[in-house]
Amino acid sequence: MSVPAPVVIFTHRKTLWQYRRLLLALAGRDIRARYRQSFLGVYWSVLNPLLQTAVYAVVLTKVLHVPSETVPFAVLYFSGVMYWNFFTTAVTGAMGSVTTQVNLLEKHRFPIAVLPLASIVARSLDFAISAVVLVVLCSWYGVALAPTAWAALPLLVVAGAAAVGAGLLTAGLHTLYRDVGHLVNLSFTLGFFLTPIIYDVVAFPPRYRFWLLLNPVAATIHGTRLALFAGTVPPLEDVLPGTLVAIAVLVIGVASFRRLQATFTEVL
Amino acid sequence: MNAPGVLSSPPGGDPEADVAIAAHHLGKRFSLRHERPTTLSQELLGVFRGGPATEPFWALDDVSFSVIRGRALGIVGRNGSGKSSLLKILAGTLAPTTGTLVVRGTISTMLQLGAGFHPEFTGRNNVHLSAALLDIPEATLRREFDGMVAFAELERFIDVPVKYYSAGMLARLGFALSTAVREDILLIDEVLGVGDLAFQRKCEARMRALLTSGVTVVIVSHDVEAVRSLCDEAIWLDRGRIRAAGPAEVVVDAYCAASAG
Repeated sequence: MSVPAPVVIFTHRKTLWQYRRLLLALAGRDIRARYRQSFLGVYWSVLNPLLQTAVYAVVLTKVLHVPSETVPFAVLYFSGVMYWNFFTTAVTGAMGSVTTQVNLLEKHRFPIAVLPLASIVARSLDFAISAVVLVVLCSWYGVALAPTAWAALPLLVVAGAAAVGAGLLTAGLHTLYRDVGHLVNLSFTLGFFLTPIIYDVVAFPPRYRFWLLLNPVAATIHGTRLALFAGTVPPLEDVLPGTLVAIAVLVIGVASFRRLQATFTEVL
Repeated sequence: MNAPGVLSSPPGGDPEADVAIAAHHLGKRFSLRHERPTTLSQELLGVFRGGPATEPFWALDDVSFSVIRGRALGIVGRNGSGKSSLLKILAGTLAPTTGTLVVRGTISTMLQLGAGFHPEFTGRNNVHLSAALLDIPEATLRREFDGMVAFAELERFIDVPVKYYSAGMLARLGFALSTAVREDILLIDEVLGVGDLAFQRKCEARMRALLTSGVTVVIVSHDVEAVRSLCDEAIWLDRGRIRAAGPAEVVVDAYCAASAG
């Protein structure tokens, strides 16, 4: 049966940009909700990665005797895991943001993309705190930041684009298939080892390096380490493939979310 | 934006300026899958069984009406007659399957109790978030906040998590919030009956003031007396179709007579 397409005109529909206050309010609520009724509150976002780092540092350097060539292992690990934690928590948060807040979209008309974006913005705060902790960690270990440190800044955009793209993609698909949640968890478990977190890219077999660096998070971590510790501006051949993948993920994420969002209030 | 032949154009001026909401042949079809496959294996099984058994269900069928700016429209009908779906379509949170809809003006909604309130947060906190949802400017909110809390009679409870609120308290806060700022169109679903008698009077008075100031109101309610007294016109929905439309009193009387009989 063919049905003529409906025509709906709202003369006062606002754009996503006009909802930035809602985005910040939701992000603030997300952060407060996470630390509600916890004594240490926001300090958890410092403690958590630090304890993780301590465990990995002890196991890998004292038990397995992994040599760390460039910087102390704790610094190497922390500089990687802060991006990894940002990416995984942002995607996980964004993925559940629509399915857990159906009550909002049924009752208010607003660009639904605000929900996943707000949860990604909320995780950026943790990342910003981690960045400060990294600087403190560096001075603790006597690691001087290289003058090329500025080159790490554009890589933040790459990590952000990858997180937004993957977050929108999974948020949209998760409303239709809850399998996406399991798939994402599995890929994070594998991805942790396929991302240069507990090792440096140099240690990876050169033959497969190109494939490793296709992962935007891997490219970001690698580039950041080069800029911060090695004193070299990351070469384009190392970061460009990952950047292109991040852009592709962003485009796919935005397109799929736009396509799927009309069905959200019906399937949820 | 002119749709020739849809609305007759009075001579002079913008022909459609005074119509706040114009709906033509709106239809909403839901697919009733008795078991919606939400996992891959269910979906795959569905493919082998020749697709999931879906049954089209028209929650709204050929619904046409218009609301003049500054008037109040009541929507009555039994449970499941499509009232709430229609209001969601007007609010823009649900897309129609067929038909044409034009909504002119900014919209404030009050759909269900405590819509979008987070139970763990205080009333104050939730008001700030809802204000962002309703796009009430920060400055306006600061100016209106105390008056809003006073109207809702929640001065003592505004810093208490809303999970401790009673249904009446939620309704009062919701109503105060969605009417604190004058928007062009106000959509209200089934919430007026919750407050006590004194508060219902206050709500009615505020709604009348809004109507006089030119706000267009659409009310879905089982409270036929409220529809009778507040609304100019009403439509009676029956299984997704308009069974009667016209002056509120006439439609409500017909609906009451049919329900009694």
